[in-house]
Amino acid sequence: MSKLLELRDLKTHYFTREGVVKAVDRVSLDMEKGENLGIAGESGCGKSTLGLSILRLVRTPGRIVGGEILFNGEDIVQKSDEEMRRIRGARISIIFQDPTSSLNPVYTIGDQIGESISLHQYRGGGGVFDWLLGRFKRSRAREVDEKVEDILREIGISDASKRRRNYPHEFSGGMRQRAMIAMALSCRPDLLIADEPTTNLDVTIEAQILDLMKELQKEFDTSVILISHNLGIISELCEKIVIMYAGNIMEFSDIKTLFESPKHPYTEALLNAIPRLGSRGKRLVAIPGEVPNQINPPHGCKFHPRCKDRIDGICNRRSPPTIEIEPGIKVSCYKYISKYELSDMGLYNEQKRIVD
Amino acid sequence: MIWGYIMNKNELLIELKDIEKYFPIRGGIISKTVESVHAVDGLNFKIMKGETFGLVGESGCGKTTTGRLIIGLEKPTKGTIMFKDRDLNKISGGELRELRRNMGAIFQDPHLSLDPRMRIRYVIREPLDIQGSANRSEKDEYVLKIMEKVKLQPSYVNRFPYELSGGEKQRVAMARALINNPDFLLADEPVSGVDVSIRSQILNLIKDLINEMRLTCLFISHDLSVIEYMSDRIGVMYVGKLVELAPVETLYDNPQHPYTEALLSAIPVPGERSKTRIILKGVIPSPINPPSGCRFHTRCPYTFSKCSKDEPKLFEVENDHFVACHLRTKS
Repeated sequence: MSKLLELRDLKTHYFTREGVVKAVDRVSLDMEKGENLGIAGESGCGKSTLGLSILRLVRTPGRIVGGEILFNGEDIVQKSDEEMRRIRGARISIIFQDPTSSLNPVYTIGDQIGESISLHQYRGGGGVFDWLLGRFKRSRAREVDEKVEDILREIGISDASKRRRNYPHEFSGGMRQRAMIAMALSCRPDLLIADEPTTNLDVTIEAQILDLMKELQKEFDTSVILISHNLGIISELCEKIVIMYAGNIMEFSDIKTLFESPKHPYTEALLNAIPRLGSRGKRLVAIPGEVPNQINPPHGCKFHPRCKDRIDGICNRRSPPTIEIEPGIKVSCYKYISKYELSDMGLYNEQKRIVD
Repeated sequence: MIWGYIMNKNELLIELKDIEKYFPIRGGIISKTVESVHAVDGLNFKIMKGETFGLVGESGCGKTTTGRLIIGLEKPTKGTIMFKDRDLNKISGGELRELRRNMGAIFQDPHLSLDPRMRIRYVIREPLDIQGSANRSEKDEYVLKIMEKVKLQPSYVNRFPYELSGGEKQRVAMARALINNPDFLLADEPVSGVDVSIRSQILNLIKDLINEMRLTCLFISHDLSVIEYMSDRIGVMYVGKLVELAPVETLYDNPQHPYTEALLSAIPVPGERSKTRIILKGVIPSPINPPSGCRFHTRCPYTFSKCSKDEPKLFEVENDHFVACHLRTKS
């Protein structure tokens, strides 16, 4: 399988008045073609910033300060703005949590879905003029409208020819999110980034949207990066999962292994802390402490103040390297580093014992 | 919860009889009522002393309105609410304030429910000031005592809400709700606004305090796994009505209403890809113009002719297990 996306030491920082927030800090990961990847973590862990970085949509005071984003082997970080515009929507698209604020209230749903089709599929020389010309040619306009109707039918909106002329406020929350998905997939991109796509929706509507995403993803052969704090949703759609904490990747694993035998202490703690069905009578094991301040994060491993397996003198000194402990399973934790390697790093101290 | 079994669990604390709450929608020049939102429509249930009653449902089903009605923040359009054998509609002024001492409430968004210009000390103390019987040093003592109970450091008394994290704010809200030593706690989506890793801390704290302070609790949430973790008995609401009412074990092991069934199967379970999910078609109907008959009939996979005509009543299918569905009443 070929690599669709590779991140190498990606760093996205926000330069705020209070200090530098390292929202994404030295993140590396691989994604194969045809694979769905889930990015999980708590609010403020950098998962959304990671998604935005891939599309180069991070706004000031945020900036990508280092690293590479290889999309089909090409580095996105080095692309010009014009080249990026051609990638966005056509080859990588994104859907956000709140469809109400990402749809334009003064254009009809059909216009908005049609825009990305006419922009990316019919663009001639690349100028705005060409686009306008294309838009006003009757035959082309009709062709776009037909495509829009096809898409609306595909996402399960009946009466497509009428619904195309509706404005966003005439759609329900679930339907708006459907329209967003339609828009994002209208150009059959290679990669779809879905940032908390169902968080504002009710459970029964969430199930509909997930089902739709699964179906369309298969049909269009699009790979999905699903960003969510809800591990259940991720397991529903993805094969691989990344657990993030305070800007770092803690664990990269496949879904099955992650839930059967979590490797990183944070993953383990997180799984024990989530109430799930069937939890009555049992007691949740809470993670002590608070999510760290991002401007002044703890030294060393950012999870160490809350970690039950921390090794004093090691975990609080330097951030742990990422190691592949089993094929396809990567962890950033000193727990999995032998004392020999630690002493090579100058971290091992005879008084402190380490369990291999 | 546990203390409820030790004490007499059949003692009634709250009873709702045929509660209806309509919110008017006004329009026109003289702003007369053109339509109304049927937020709660014919609700009947009891909360026994010592139990944690869970109320679950999707957005707009009226669960929050129900909570607000019980603590007297809203007056019902019709029906009576009895709290400790007193009719909440018929009392007012001093009497109501006296009764309110027995109630505490925490809400979803701790950022909004704390006054940003008040130091934590005064935020927590305010209910004492209103109920007013203690002197100043006693009040300060109470504040510190309750802060210890909710596991807040005493040094926080002079801070402002913005200096606290979401989880800490929710603890302050708990302290404020419990400082008068109430019998009843309303917890309306208390963990929806806090981080995943903090959520279990807050849930465990609420559970412990319910036991320690012998509270009766109405726990409102849209999250079925949280409701399962917290409650003894659960009511499932759909567009202003109760569709199922049962003890926690019965509801989760043997759901009888098609809506409950669909809700339970719709929850994605971490670690597995479900195969047999019931995916409901359509959208949640608007409470302005709710469907005729059974309100769920527009989305129900088993709907038949009777469903759109007659409204099903809550019917006891087995001991303590009530369902409002024509499928179950027939047999």
